[in-house]
Amino acid sequence: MGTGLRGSTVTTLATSSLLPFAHLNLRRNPFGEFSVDDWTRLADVDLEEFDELLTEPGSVVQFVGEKGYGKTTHLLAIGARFPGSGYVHIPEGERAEVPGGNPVLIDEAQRLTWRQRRQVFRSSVPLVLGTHRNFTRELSRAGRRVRTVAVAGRMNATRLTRILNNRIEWVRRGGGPVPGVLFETAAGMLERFGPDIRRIQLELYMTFQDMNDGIRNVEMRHFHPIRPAGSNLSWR
Amino acid sequence: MSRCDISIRFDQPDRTYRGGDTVSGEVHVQVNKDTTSNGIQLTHYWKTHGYGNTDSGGDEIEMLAGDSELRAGEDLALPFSFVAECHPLTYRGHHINIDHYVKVAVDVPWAIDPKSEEEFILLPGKRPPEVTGQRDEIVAQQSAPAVESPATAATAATAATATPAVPEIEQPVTTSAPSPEVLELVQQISAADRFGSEREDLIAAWSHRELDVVVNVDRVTTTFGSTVDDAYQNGQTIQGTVAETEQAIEVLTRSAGSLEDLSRGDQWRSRVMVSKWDSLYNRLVALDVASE
Repeated sequence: MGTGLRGSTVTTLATSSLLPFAHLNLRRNPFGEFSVDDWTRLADVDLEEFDELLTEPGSVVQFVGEKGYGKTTHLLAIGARFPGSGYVHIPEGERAEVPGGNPVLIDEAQRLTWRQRRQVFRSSVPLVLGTHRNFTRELSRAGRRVRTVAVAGRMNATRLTRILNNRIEWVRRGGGPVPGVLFETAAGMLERFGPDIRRIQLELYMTFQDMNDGIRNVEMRHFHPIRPAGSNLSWR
Repeated sequence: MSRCDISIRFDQPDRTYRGGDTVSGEVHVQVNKDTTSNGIQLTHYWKTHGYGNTDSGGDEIEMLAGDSELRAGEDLALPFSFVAECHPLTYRGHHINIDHYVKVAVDVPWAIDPKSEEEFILLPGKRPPEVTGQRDEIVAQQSAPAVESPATAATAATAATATPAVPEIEQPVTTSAPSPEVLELVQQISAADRFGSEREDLIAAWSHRELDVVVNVDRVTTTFGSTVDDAYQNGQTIQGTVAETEQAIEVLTRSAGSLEDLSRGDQWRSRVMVSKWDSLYNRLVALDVASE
């Protein structure tokens, strides 16, 4: 299975060489940071299975996984499915107020204070948590019905190929070919980086920054040698 | 097929304008389906894209057309023009880019608005005639009155007498400007070879000098670490960038709590002594000496 250079006709790629990424028929680097709206729109996750559960009082779905595994993407996509929901992302080293809404979506829930956890867990409002820490025990003690989802297990090469090519397509400048990511490359990236999508995005960001030799597909050999953890800028 | 196809054409084929130029062109709206519109709106604005958080601003909105019934098969040509801002300029970097955009949207009630946007390039505008670009002029604008030299005072006085007709023009805010020495240091850092020891050597050469610095604050943290001088242990560290530059800086202070109210976006001024170069983060590390 493979995705070749996409687009069948070649048209004028740019009216000015100064336009960003015109040489790749793109409007920007597809693997940079996106707005929350774009992020939500591009989310590629299966969520139907949670729809019914999240209408029941006392229910909790917790997405557990490391940084960059897609917890936020799941939460934003659920938020888009429930217009009455309330979402909060708790930044590192800071406190944040838990919003109202049904369900309540709490990203980085491991940063809730003890008091907040006690208050929120003991309420009956349906909850969706994105967390590094598994709260099953604490939630069960508070009388909650918990569904735990390990986000790492929800990624595979087919989905990753689709996610990456959708991002490229999203920033297409005009008709004609654009670079693509092959299934084999996506599989190779999963093997090298695991399900750390943020890390994969970072590698692809660098690859697209350096892609000055024309429109082509991304292959594993284009990646930079692995840098030691912590030596690169953090993704977010 | 969408309700409308929108295309934006600029009068300048290379879409390149200078600050203060008139940006003009034509918007074509090809209507594919009968549509009731609450107006056609043009917005010009800038936004960043690249690695890390994004930002945008400068939104200026104008209506190209009011409420109307758009008929399938119609092709509307709507001219537009506006005066380009002088900043921020178009910028291309590895981690961040700044681009200017013209966005056109057809406001369709109770439906997703068809829209389109195109970039244009903004280059520096012409220098105003009263600005000569001489170095002493820059120094005169940036120095506080207390350290004003006779030469700069004379220049400032000349400038004041030379422009009596425009007294309402505000003078530059001197409190937010770093000292010329700091700017010179930053310039030397960016010119030095990043991969050799040039930057470390440069910092060593500057390390005996005290400098007035203004930091655009990113974060304030508690200082700790085995290599930190005892006097600064458990003080606070200000991280940010040197004002008016993109140079990252970290200033260790002896203060244990008085800087807690500083938050991202604030400016903090102090007198510092350059300590070392942090090559991992391309960051200047300095010690606060104002409170000694």
